[in-house]
Amino acid sequence: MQSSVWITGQAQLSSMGLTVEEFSAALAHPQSNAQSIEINLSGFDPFVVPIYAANFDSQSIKAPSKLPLDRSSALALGAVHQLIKNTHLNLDELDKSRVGIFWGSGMSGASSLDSATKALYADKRRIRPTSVITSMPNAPAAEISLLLGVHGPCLTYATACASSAVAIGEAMLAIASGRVDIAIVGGSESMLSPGVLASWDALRVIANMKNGAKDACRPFDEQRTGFALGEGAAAFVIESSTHAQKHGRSPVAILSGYATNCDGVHMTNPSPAGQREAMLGALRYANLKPKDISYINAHGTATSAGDLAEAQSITEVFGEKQVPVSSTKSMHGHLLGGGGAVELLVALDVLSTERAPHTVNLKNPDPSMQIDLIQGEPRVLTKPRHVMSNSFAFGGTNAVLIASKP
Amino acid sequence: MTSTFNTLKNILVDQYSIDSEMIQPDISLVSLGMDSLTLMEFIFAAEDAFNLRIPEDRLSESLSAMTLQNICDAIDQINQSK
Repeated sequence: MQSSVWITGQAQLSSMGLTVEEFSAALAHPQSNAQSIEINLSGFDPFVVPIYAANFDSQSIKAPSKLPLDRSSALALGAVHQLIKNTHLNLDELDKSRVGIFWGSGMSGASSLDSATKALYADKRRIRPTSVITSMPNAPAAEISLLLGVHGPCLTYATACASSAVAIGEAMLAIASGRVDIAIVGGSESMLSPGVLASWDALRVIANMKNGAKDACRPFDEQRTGFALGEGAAAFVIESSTHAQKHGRSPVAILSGYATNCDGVHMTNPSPAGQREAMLGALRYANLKPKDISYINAHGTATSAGDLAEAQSITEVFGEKQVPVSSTKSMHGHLLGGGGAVELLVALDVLSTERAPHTVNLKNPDPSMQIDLIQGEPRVLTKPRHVMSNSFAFGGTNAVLIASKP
Repeated sequence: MTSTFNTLKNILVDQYSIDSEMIQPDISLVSLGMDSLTLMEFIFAAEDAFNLRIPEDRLSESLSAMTLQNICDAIDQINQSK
């Protein structure tokens, strides 16, 4: 019998609000609040891309290191401040050598490095002495460790779009195996600087602006053209049930299943086989059958190939139109490394409210997909017990999390 | 107080939120809450303010002993030798 791992606290900052309550309220009335940003180019038309920006003042966060913060680190710290407050976590009561930090970020620091190199190349200014520290991918996790003063493993997972799902899953395994008692887990990302946006745009995966920013990202729609980048952070406290009970904390949900694998096929083209095996692996870990899952928060990036592969892999595991599916990326944007954590929060909201959000901007579902897409309005579910969140990454890493009602 | 000192003091107040009352020439920068990394950022900001680079051998004082006056002296000496 594997140890039971409980989620005992949750927090978030994103374009859907700056608290879990605001996030939940936004899920009750799903809409897109994407904006557009324009960047001028010499000799070409300016490029205009949709983004989902968080209404968050990163200057409001003081770095425990007293160093400049990348916005991704500021978002991470903001979410963890909120998490500690929400859970009334008293770190002095804990064995700090057995508190882990497992964080996910795909490109944390990229925006700071973008600014630093702009200073050098464009403005002919020197690069700041601590630019390396600010822009290193593990800066958010390191700042969290300084904030909390804990001494267990402090690990950063960089598996692109699956980063924070992997971080949460690996923390779950570390708790289940007895390596740590409790962990601060999640992910953060902020990629809305010109150089980073332009890099994504050049890859031709950003949704076009033909119908404006709000309608640009259309997961599973036959007219889908790609995603819009978002920013934010989501953080959780997860711990063994024994540890939680000892400290008088109740579960928000049970983290019951996780699997990760790699397609090993292509850097960007997804493999339905790899996705299928990841979903089956998470179900096996949780000792569940496909029919036990009441809702899937899809990776659903709204790229042509990505949505098609995911629809196929879901059908292979669950059968045709057997489980309600939605993508919330048209609500919060694509948070890359922060996505798995934010989307787990969506799945937890579905468990607690028994209502699943529809896919915003889904007007004409792709007829080649045989999955039960929640469309038009949120769907009330009948006593959901188990929900799944998929994260399928560039580089081929797949990660699937399952959460269950306590 | 010299203009060099006042410029450095303004950086400490504006960028590091240090109480201006605490900022005296002979106070160690460690006692103002700085460590090796924040000191590096502060010296960088000071160099930018005076448009010069302080060579490493002018910063040979150990971190724990370095005072604001040490940095003022280094800046003033470089400016005088220009």
